[in-house]
Amino acid sequence: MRFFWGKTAFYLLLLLGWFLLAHSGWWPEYMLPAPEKVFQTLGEGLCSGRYLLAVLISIRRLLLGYLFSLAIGIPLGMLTGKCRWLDETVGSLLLGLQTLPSICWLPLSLLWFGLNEQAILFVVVMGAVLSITVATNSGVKNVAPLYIRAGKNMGAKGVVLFLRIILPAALPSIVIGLKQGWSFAWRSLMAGELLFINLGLGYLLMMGRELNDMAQVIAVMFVVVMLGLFFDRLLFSRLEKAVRRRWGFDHS
Amino acid sequence: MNEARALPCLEPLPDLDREEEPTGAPFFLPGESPRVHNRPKSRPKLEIRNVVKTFASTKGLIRALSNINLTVHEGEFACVLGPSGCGKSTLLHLIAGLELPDHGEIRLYSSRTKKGNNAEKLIIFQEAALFPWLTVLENVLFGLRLQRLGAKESKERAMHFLALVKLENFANCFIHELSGGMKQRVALARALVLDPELLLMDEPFAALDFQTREKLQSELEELWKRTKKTIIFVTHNVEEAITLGDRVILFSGQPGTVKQEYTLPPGRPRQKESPFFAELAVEIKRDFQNPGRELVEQVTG
Ligand SMILES: Nc1ncnc2c1ncn2[C@@H]1O[C@H](COP(=O)(O)OP(=O)(O)OP(=O)(O)O)[C@@H](O)[C@H]1O
Ligand SMILES: [Mg+2]
Repeated sequence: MRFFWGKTAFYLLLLLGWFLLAHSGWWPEYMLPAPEKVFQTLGEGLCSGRYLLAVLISIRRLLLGYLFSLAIGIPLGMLTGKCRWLDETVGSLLLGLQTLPSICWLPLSLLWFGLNEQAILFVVVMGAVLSITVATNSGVKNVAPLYIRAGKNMGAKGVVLFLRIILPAALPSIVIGLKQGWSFAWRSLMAGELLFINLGLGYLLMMGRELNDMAQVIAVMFVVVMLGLFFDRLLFSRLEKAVRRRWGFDHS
Repeated sequence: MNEARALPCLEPLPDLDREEEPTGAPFFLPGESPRVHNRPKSRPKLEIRNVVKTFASTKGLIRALSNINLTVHEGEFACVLGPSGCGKSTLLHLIAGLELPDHGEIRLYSSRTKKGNNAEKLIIFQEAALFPWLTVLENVLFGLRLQRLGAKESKERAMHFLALVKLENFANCFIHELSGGMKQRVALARALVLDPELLLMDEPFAALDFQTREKLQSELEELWKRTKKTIIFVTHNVEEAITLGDRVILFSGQPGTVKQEYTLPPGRPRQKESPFFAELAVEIKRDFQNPGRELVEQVTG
């Protein structure tokens, strides 16, 4: 709250600068549209349901891809974290693949799946799954041996030991992986939708370009930013904070 | 081992005669061997025979324990005293079955016929080792849940033991909201609630300040009297060992061996100010610091 007024003033000034610049006539409208024009486009787009549809389609892809990534990434991370030879083999491969920007999977994906939903889903999964796997892996590997000893001492072993001690102990680092995985999934999706036009927000962006409609481009970018902020602030940051607080990390 | 069980300072001290014995019997009769301090009716609970443990480390093989022989009796409070690195924690881990000895055998004489209870030898670690993702109550419930007891019964038991360590008002707190002393109390409750045959305590009060430590020591003594548990208590503090132990087992380091045992008179709480204990403390400290007692006696005598 301390910076509330400062923040407000900053954004108002930014808007004013944009307004003046756009009306100065230095740049043509297709390069820099006036803010009121952008807001008008945004309002129309939202009211007509065009943007809403695009948002829903994109989010559906995102959620589906993310769920797949969770279902693959968490078990894979656990297995490689617990099993030494799996870690040396599969784990090292995953670490290597993590350096590959996920959009590089698009050509392969198009050849495998063709021009359809599966192709874009594949790209999203490849974006998210690796960071979730790697974070789960290191979380499981870095559980303090003291917790494991204490659990074994009280009679926990095998699956019980894993579910009741190793998993909760690794949760803070898994949550970081979940957050990072989400943002990678989001980025991959946008990149995929831009290159492989088929509804969704990326498609709207490309349409704006093709129609030379800069107001639409900026309006859609605005929607993308808002959605990203929404998920990050309202979901993942809160989750991370709650876990950190409960695990006592913010108190030492 | 030949010196084991020899009690130093054998002269009956006048102030000890004044001490009230719980059994009513004099704890010391003229002409009798010092073994009179051993509780005569107690049966062995734990037997350690020729145990050797070696670790592979970056510096090569380290012999942590060499040929340990030790018997702990039922209901006994045995204190293992020794310098840092002499293998005290290793010994407890071996007893608890968290690690296996290279040689020798460790046998627990269980008084129960019931099978399937894996929690018969419980360790309380130096750093409490409570689970931060669970509340105080859930921590105490952890072991009970593994044993598949009814939810209501488990909770009642857990609350009972939390009350025993005076923490019933903190049942729903998180671990990081507790002080160091409270954490050790929770760890104690978490172990006692499982009704272990043997309680292994690894310098549980070492990280606490003087006052908290004294308080927890007397609480532990009280709990021990009430629950009649067999306790092996590891410490590097001589005063702590003679305050709590029925017997003090002095270890020497690298590799860890039993150097000496002292059997203490049973009267409790201990009159630590009495000349007997003062002298005993001095004696143990001397043995503690010196490489070999015989050697010192040669030099001084
Ligand atoms: N996992 C291990 N790997 C290699 N060496 C070990 C391991 N655990 C213990 N040691 C070695 O065994 C010896 C005894 O260690 P231990 O932890 O039992 O000592 P301690 O008596 O408990 O000491 P402290 O009072 O400092 O806790 C030490 O020399 C230590 O270096
Ligand atoms: Mg130790």
